[in-house]
Amino acid sequence: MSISRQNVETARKTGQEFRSGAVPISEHIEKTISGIQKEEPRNHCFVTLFEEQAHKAAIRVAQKLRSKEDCSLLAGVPVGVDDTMMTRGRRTTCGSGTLEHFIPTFSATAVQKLEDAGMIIVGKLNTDEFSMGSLTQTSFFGPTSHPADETRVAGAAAAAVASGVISCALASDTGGALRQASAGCGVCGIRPTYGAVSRLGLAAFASSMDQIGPIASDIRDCAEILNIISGKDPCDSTSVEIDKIDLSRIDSFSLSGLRIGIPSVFFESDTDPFVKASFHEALDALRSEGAVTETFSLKGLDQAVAAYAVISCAEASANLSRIDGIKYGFRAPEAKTLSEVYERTRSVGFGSDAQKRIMLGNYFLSAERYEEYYLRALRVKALIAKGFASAFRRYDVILSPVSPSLAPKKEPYDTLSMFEEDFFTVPASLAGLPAASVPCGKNPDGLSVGLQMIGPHFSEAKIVGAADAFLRIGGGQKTQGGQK
Amino acid sequence: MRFTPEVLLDLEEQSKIRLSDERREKVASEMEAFLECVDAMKKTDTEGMEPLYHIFPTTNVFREDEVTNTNRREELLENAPDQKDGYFKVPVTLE
Amino acid sequence: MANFETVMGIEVHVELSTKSKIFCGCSARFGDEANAHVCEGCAGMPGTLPTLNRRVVEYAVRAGLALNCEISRFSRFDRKSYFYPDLPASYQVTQLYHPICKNGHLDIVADGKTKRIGINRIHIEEDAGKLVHDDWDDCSLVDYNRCSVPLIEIVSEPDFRSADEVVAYLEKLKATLQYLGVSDCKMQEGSMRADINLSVRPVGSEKFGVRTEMKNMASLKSIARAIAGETRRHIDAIESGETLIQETRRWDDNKGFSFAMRNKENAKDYKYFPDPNLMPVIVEEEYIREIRASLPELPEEKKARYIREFGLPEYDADILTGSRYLVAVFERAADICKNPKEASNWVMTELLKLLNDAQMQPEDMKFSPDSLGTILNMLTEGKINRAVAKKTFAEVFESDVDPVDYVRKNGLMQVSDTGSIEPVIREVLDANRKAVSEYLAGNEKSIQFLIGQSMKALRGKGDPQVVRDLLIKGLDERKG
Repeated sequence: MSISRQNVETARKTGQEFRSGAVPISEHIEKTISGIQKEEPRNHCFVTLFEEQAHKAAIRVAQKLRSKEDCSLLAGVPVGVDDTMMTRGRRTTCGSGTLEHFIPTFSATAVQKLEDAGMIIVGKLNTDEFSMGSLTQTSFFGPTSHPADETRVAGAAAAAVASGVISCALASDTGGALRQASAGCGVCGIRPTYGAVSRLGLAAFASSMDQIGPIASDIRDCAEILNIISGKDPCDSTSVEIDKIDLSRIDSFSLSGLRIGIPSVFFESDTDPFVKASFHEALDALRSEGAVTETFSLKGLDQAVAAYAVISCAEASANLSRIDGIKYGFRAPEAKTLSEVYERTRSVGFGSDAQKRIMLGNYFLSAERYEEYYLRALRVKALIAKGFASAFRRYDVILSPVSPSLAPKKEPYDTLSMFEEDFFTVPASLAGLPAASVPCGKNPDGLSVGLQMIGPHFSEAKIVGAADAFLRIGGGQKTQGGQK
Repeated sequence: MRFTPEVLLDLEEQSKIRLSDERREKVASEMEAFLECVDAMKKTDTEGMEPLYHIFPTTNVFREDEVTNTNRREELLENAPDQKDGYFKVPVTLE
Repeated sequence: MANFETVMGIEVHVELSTKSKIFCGCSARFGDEANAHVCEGCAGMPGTLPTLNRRVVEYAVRAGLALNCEISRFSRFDRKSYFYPDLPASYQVTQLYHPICKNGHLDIVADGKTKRIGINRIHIEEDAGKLVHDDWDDCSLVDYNRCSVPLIEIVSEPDFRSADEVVAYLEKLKATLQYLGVSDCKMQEGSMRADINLSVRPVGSEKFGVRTEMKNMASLKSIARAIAGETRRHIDAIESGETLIQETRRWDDNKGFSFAMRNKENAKDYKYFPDPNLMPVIVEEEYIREIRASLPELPEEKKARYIREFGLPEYDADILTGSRYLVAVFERAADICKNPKEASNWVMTELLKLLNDAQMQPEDMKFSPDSLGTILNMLTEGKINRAVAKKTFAEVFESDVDPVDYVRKNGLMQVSDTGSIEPVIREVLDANRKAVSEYLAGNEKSIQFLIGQSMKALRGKGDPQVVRDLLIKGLDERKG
């Protein structure tokens, strides 16, 4: 199967067709679900389909539209949601055997906001176990297939969008999963400023970095969805308010004079040649439009992965200790004593990668190593955040590739190599910065490369503007179809 | 080797995860390799840097002292692996 | 024993009397059906986040100021991880690194001497749930109602040398916290719990012995017994050359012995780290000033004032101010009857006796605060006699009756008009000729019997003075 993005309508256009009455919502939802079902055996994007609920929602939203109730531009548009986000009364597994049959009793704020806006959640997307990974390799339900190559893996939200079965999705991003998934499948994704989207109802992996963001084939759709899901939530003490992105002003965004910084260490990394070439081509394209690029050094960036690894494992070890077979989820059936309930439930329930991360986290947090690892990692984080802050006094955006390599094969992986894939994405995670991934190339086998645009806190509008302008000049299409 | 059998056993206990004997060695060597990469972090000069816990220096985020929840125990017990008389049921606990 | 000295420090956990829990909108009320006050947050469901109850900080600062602490400008919350079914998130949110209050003290009186007990810190944390053992099914049942109820933990310096000091400290602490209104401090309900860190060393030694921590003491009496028992165990071990290990032990008051706790309390490493979901708390000077200004009169000041203004004996003033609940009854009664001494006498004798007979704590009293004053007014106005007043107060204490209603419905108004009493006196004198002749023969004591008989006939409501006068008059007439 090939990706034919031309065939995919934008979410905004679909929404417009619903509002004008040109297309009935129910019919579209039915088509969407049968489309998913047809592709699912190959793609393996969805863990659970909400067929019945989606049909009911379609009727409800159609009624609302008819009665001219206040609805968003995306009312009626089908959307997929990463399975780490709680959907009330509908199965939420977090990609883990421990929650294979878990039915949450509340919805994530982001999910609730989508539904309040009239968007229709058609199902839950495959995810790495509790988001620990990027490309579904650690999912209890097995990996998602890459749309262009069945032998390779992909992030499910991006794969579903790229294969055209849905136009948009919500995904989570801790160390870069959302961005890497988008890059790998040649679609757009935005990780917003830390706190811009409430984390309430997102199963925690590393709480200090977890964020929810949109994935869509169209960057403006991403912006529209971000406008729906962002906002300060009194239930999330870390949440912040970001400005809504004004899409009417996006056409006038000019690349001319845009100041672009590229951390020099990003050039020194062990990056796939095609990724490198695509990145340089993207920079050329930007420069030809009048953007100014410059390399600079950002202290501590070479240790970002290490700091990220320590912090994320430490937080994950505590966050996942609630998965214990006592209150909900899987309990090892043969466990007789309390300690057997704990040990067997967690030894059988968690996948091998999760187990290693939990044990490493406990290693880093033990009283004797706390200072040596955890506090040191937080100091590196401080150094990186400070470096970014001063860099953004000189640059509007900071660019890099998203992933150092192309979509990996479906084969055994180890925890270490997964962290190395995060090389370009974890710095923004550590510093809580907004970052977008936009397509900037595709090799002859249809494997995509993404360009990462990192901006200062609360600069989502600027990032979207720059990304949109870059896509308008064809930056993302240049090497498509084997032209290269 | 820092993940000696003793350290690993302690981590298993702390994590409530029991590794099978076949797996233990492999896991230890993977974690060792991981730790070596992480140790590279120690070369970074973080002199004068205070640990950064929160990205934004927000403080005093409060909720008012109001009861907003109602009794939903049947709903919350629905996911329980085992329950009895409105309680979560577990094997005998020893204090 | 004489050669050893017991050194103790106390950690007191006090549940704060907020309406809702510390991190969610569940009710913090005690005593409802199991798991009635539980939501996704306090049940540790995935995706939940804590939001800090503003009043918890206020109460902790109040307690800190009353206990002469420094209030930290900056404090923060940490996770303390261990696995136990009563802890749904498998970590407890507490304050290890930056507690809200530090370096305070509380003065106590024990063995006739005043002693200053140092308070090392007060920190905020969340309570755990409750486990019930089900013998029938041989399993344990978990109730999360108490889970995430706010607590403060008050950690003393190792300044205690005797059980008396410990008990005096706990009583003073309880009275103070009750005055502040931050906790009801009911040991039986677990809203006040003390853990004793105890070690024993030879008298004169500077070095501390091996310390054990004792938990699970439900009353001040059992604390005193636990201290005696654990001290004995330590001395026995030292004398017989056994090694004591630093551990947490559970006091079994029935067996009179402590046992090492096997699970949660002896976890090797709690892996503390700051909770990324909670923002730091900054306490400004202005806020501290406001709280300080709102503090009520505390036991010591109150006691001094009672002695000074009301002329109460020191002993009485001490007992009265030992509980804000006694204070409430006393002050209201004194205010209504305008006779603080009389009000104090009634609290000191009648009320304490009633409490003692009912095995109740002052905080368990349920009657209307106005009742005692109303009774005392009826007494002074001669509407009821003293016996009826006592009886009425007992009824008030027992079932919170309205005293005026009670007296009226039961016809207990004092009878003092001679017209009603005289016929009764005549009947009594006629019916008790033996006592009459004894009196007339010079045995004046027999008048008591006749008074008793008259009061009985008047169903207790005769004015004793009028009865007595009329009896003497009647007897005199019979001298004849």
